[in-house]
Amino acid sequence: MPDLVIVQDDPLFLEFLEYLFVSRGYRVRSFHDGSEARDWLDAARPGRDGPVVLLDPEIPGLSAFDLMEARGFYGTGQFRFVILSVEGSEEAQVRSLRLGALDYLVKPVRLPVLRAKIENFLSSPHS
Amino acid sequence: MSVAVLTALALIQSAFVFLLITTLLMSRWFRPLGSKLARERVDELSRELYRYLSGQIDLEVALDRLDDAKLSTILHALQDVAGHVKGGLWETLVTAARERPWFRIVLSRSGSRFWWRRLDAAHGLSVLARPSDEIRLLRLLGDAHAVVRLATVPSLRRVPSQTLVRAALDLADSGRTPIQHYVVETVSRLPGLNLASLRVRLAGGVDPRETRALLDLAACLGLPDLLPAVLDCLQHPVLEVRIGAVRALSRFPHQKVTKALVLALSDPEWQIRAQAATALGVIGARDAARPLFRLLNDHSWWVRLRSGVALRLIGEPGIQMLEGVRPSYDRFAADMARYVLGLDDGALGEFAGEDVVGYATSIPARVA
Repeated sequence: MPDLVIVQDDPLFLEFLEYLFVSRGYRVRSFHDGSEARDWLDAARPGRDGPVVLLDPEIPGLSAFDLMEARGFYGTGQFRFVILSVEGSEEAQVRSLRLGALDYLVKPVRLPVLRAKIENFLSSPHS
Repeated sequence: MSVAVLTALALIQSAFVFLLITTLLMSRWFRPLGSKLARERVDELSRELYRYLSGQIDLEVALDRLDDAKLSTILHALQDVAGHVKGGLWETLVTAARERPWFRIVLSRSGSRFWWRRLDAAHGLSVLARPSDEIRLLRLLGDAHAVVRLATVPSLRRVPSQTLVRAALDLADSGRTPIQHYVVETVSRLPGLNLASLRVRLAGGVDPRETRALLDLAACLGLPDLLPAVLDCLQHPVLEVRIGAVRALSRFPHQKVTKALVLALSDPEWQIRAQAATALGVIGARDAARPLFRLLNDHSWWVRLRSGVALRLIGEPGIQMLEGVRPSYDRFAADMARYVLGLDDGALGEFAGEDVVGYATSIPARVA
């Protein structure tokens, strides 16, 4: 089971994020296709401290809110979601956090901040 | 004219027609290929910029890659990456990029006679602008071409300036267009927006178009400091502004607001009543259930609909009221209650949209 699952629409940005965390020794699984990500997340059976999922909610083929409801920390699964989105509306942020997302980051994102937050979540089980 | 001359003319014309058709076909075949290649070049350059940001290559190497590319490729790649990433390393790149020869071309294009060149300048400045570009940005925000004006708006995120904010708000037209919405959204997210000046401008707004745009901005921000100025706009002589004020109030959940909106439910204008009902639904004002219920037999269909939707949105007390409406009380109210109770979540969400101003101004008459 990976430490971090990255689901992002833009393949270049995805590649970049993947490098950012792989180079620091994390096991990363990445998807830029929403339906592939959905299938994988549906099939995955994470343990108690499941991976952190860095999720772009606008990705086609995947309803982020449904997914968080079903497989989020407060749902039946044990994934811990961090949202990374261009959509910065109050509604989207509040909804995601209420569904149990650990954090909501709006693009463009400050890299050191993103990295520090993800590393904090990864090092604190059941955050 | 001799037959030989006519034949020659016909041949020349045929050759031109043939050339035209060939050019059209070639353009049809080669354009997608050209776009694909251009996209690949942009991706390649974006990848280099990401490599710089992740520490795989030095700044100088990244800058050399930029220097080697075409201006359009540079601008696309910079915009792509800037959409995802900001911060220290990015700003270092911006500072260095502004010293490159191609950036001087970007700046010179801001004064070009051709709008597509000014568009290049707007795109470039949206990712590379600094406060020293304020005058240039001001000119681009007032450009004759709408697409240039629009492309300049994101630059405001890079250059904190009240003058630019004012110029951006002036872009807002009288309708609630996606462009206006985009401008207001962008402005509402600017760091260090001067609220005191916004309050003063809302209170003393002479131009109704500007006041509408400011009300949208106030709604986006939803800050309590702005509430008194928004409430004052309910007395504005222009209907459009009053509608904007009522809509904006839905973003200020407060006892004062509920009272003002309940009062607006008895406004002689149906648009105000419909918008007030919508706002009360969005706020989830349970205290307003009774007055909303009374509007279920309003003479305007839209007001009846909005009141019904608001009753459903405020939850149990509202739903119970809708379920209790009998045809013997009022046939139109009973019809609307049944209709609203039958709406699925998607339809309810659609009807619960905050904007009712886009409707035709004709009031659907209630038929006895």
